[in-house]
Amino acid sequence: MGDGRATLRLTRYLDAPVIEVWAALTEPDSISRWLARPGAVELAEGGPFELHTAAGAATRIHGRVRAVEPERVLELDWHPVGQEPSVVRFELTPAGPGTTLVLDHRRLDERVCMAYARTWERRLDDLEASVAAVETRR
Amino acid sequence: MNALAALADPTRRRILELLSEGERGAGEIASHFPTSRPGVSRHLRILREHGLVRVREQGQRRLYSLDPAPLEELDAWLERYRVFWTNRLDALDTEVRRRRRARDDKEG
Repeated sequence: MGDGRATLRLTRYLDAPVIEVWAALTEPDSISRWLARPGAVELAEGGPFELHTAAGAATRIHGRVRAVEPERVLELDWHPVGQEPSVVRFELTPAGPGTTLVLDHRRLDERVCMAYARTWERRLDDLEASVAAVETRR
Repeated sequence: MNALAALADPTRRRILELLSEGERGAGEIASHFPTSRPGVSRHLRILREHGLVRVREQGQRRLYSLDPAPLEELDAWLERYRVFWTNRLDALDTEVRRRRRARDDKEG
């Protein structure tokens, strides 16, 4: 609390049971299609979770598995080269025939890029706990 | 301390919510909290120092109002991550469907 960091939260319903969403979330072939080209990935606490986000550019993400509970939780240290480290957490919950996925990107450092300018439309209600949290539902 | 750190305190967030409804006097703001009047004054000072509230004098009264500029910056900064993850989760959705189609095809 009070460390000047934010959390971004996105909530998404996916039309497949948790076992399938988990596979899409964690299998290297799938990761390369939805997230980025994976390097070393080992789904165990402390294991690497390396990503290459674009060819040639300095856009490697040094990831490490902080917590893993198959078909439920995947939490990663998220350290893009040249940026402040943060934490990314995926949490799956069965929801009828499908799955609710909650993504939290935590410990985002405000100093990284306060320069971006846009309009403030959302209400203060969106600012929760020590965080500015924004949910989108679909 | 940056704007996020100033927002970390629940009393300060509640003060901003009050001010989002319109300008308020210090006494009126304080009446919403069990905290002592000096306590609320301290929170107002911190909010002012971070540019989150403005103050003007009207006779004996000090009237406080919201300054949305730091919140706009904060939101613009978060927007970058929001766009990134929204795109990635769209792709995950597509991938989940692709896998299901592939499995259905295999099962005939």
